[in-house]
Amino acid sequence: MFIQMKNAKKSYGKGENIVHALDDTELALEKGKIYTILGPSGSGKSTLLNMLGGLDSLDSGSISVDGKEISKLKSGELTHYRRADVGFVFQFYNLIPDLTVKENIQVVSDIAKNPLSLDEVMQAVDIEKYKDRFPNELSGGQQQRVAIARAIIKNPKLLLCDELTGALDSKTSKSVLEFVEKVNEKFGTTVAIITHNEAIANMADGIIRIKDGKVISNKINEAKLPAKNLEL
Amino acid sequence: MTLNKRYIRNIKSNLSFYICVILLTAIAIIMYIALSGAATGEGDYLNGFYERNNVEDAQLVTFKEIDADAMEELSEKYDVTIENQSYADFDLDEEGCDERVGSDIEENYTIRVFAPADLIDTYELIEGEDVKADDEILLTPRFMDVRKLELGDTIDMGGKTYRIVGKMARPDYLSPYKNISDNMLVFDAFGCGVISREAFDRLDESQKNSYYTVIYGDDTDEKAFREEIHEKYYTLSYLAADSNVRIKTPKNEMKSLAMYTGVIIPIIVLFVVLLIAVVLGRKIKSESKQIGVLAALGYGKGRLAFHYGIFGLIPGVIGAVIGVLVAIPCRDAVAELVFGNKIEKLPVDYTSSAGSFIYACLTPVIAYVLVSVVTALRVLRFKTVDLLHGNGGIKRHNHMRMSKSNMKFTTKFKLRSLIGNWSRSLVVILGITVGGLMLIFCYVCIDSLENYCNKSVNEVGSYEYEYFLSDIRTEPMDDAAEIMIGNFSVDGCVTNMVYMGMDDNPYMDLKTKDGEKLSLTEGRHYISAMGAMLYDVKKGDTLTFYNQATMDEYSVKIDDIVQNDCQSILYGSWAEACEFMGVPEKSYNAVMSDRQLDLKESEYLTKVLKKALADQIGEVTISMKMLLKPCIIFSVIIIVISVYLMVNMLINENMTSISMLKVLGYEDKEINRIIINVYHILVPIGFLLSCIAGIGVCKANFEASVSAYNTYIETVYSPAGFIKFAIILVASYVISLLLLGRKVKRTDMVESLKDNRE
Repeated sequence: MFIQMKNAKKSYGKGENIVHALDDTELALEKGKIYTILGPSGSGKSTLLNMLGGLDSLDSGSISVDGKEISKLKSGELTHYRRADVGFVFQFYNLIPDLTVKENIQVVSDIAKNPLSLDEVMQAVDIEKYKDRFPNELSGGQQQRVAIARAIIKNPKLLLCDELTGALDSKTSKSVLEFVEKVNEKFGTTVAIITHNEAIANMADGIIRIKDGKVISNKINEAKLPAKNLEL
Repeated sequence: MTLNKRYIRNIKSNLSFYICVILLTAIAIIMYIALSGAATGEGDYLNGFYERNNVEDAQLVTFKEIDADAMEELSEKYDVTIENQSYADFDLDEEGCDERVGSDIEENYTIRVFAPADLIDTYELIEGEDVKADDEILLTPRFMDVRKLELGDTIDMGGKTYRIVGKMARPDYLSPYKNISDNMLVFDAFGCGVISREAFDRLDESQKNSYYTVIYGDDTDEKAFREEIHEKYYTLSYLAADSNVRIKTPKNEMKSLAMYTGVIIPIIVLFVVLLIAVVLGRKIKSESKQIGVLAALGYGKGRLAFHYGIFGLIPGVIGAVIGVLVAIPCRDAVAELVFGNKIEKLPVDYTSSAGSFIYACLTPVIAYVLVSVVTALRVLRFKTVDLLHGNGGIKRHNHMRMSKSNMKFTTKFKLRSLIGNWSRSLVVILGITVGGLMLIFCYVCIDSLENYCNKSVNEVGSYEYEYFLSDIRTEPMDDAAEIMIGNFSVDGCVTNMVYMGMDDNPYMDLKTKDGEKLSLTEGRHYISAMGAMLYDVKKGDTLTFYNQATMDEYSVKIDDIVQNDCQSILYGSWAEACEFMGVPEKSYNAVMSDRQLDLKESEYLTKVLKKALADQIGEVTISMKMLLKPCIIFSVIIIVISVYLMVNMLINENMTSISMLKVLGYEDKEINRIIINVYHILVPIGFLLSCIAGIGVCKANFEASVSAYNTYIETVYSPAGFIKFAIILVASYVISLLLLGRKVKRTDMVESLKDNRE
């Protein structure tokens, strides 16, 4: 398995206020596939994504990505893991305001070992014409495309998307999801999309449902649809 | 109201920031209240003291005595008050005084004893009881303090024992310089006393010195009065109160302190307060999303402006209260620090005016509240939706696109951070400059004073002994260089000009500013650098001055400027000095020698020992340094806090970018290189600006004080002060970065990114 999570535990708070964000969570993801992770608010979706992305550490249990035990990595090693293997796309884009579109992507390509061609990536997500604009001069959809370009420029093994269409209208959402699909196809990137939106699950190869910190189902989507056919 | 709970919680979560704001506010207020309280209290007391005790307008010495009837006649004719005054100097020594008073106290000292005056320069009893018996004496307070004398102690003078029954001060000796030409006060070597008229009358007549004090009335024709005095009684010397260093020093001190407390300190306070206000404003700007949330919830502009105004009010009020509470008891100590080495110790009640309290307390409060309210209102001008998406509040200036440039994006990013956000850079530079200016000012002052003291010993001459004789002589003296010295006045300048006439003097190796030896032949005149500055003359100019006694006027051409910043002296030939002084050729009233001359005490007015002069100068330097030390401490605190506030602002404003870079896999050192290191350049810029401003202010201060201090202190600086400042600045910056860098490390990457919705 490309990703293997075993007996993963993560709690926040103390005493009566303790929240078990991940509670003996088990998960397995295959390489090169698109997965959607569905669940109600507070189910532990974002915690799961943070653990996979090396942004946070487990209380106990293990996570391996492409054979690398990331739950045992130290802070510096986790930085290298994020730098080399993981791309993030957030709901609110998180672009650096003082950098132009092109420079926001360069921020990552500069430190990546084998980055993709900048022009190729910008072309892929159709942002070439905005390359000299600053983030606040772009619409939400355009910003999210820049965020996707920034995430994939390093050619990551894993693309983690946290409610990437949460702030977008349905038309723009569909367009952004098409780009994600395109990235997956073109670069063979494994994609994990956290979402509330059940409709998005239809474009995934696997649908994972999570509740109270536990994976309650992990099914292959037999009726996978192309993103352009999604009814959002 | 529930919303009010935010105040405490917000302050708690930004505790170090608010502590710094409160401390900096309090320090600014302490500086202002303590100094203005000292200045107001001392000023009010001195004005009353001079009035109560009828300070003289002038004093004069005549060849012939002016008897009581003549004085009465002159009083009526010219509307003047005139009184004959006498004093007797007792040169004493307390061998082995080290054990009792400490090793740094002079063994040899002089007590100048007066008989009580009736009309002019009357003494005021400050503590204890007045003199009643013949064996009782009143002494000046600072002299008693330094020599550790208490009321009830006895002192032996002229073969008689006197019991100290009280402390007194005279308006003509509030700055008790022993000689009128002195420019250093040495409280342990000179003090004044008052004994009863009967006891004074019984003193040996040869010990007594007599002179007349005068107070002019509104209708006095001063010129006519002085001319008549000279005509009938032959004026030997005339000294106006404005030129009398003992009277003008306290007055000038008050003037210069009034300038500090009235202009410089309020500007510094305003500067500090504005700096804090800007930082507070930027902090509130960073809450634009929160403001949007509250606006969306239905909070009106007025309510939100009020809410954020309180965020400014809290540090303003706490800082003001702490500042006032600390400043009030500090006023006495500050006054002692400021006046301790210049003015007699007086029972002053150091109070601050209501105006200074209002200015000190309201300035920060109003500035912080105003900036907070205006910032909140400016943020609210954006659409609520934009604010909710985090797109409001902080206006982005994207004028540094540099799309055609081939620079690395990191370089572009750095340039945008520095120049694109120029207001932030400016705030950082000014933040460093506020404290830096004060610190450099103090260090340059110390360097300049040390240089002045070292130089002044050499500039007065290479003699070991200098005697100012009690009469004018003509017979040559063995092993001594004869000099004719006279005091002259220059119109428009209150500082006396000394005319020093001599032939070849082996003890005065005088050189011009270009290093040429002086040629003191008849008709040639050279002026000291300080004199040139005071009387505004340069090489080739004509200087007009007049004899203070005869009122005769003379004009001479200045042939060159002599390198002497410590005295205002016009150097000329011996013959011309005698002519200007109206005495026969080859007359002299002072001698210099490299050995002690065989002169009786009654034959000279003053004996100056070069070694004693050097010691006194050294002591004065130490006391000046003592005065500047608290200022240095204040400056260092301001630098440390300002730098911390600036770094706090820089890191907070870049927090989301830092977090994003961490998420993207950047290492801490790489993040520092891209985001933080760029601000390092502001530190040397602030450093340079502080140095330039500090030196400039110091130079301006010395130039403005030439008349007040009777001397010009050249502004010099050694690397030590700048190195210390650089170390303090860099250490504050690095420690602030480390402390606040930990805060960034502790911040959850994902949590901080949640707030970034650009």
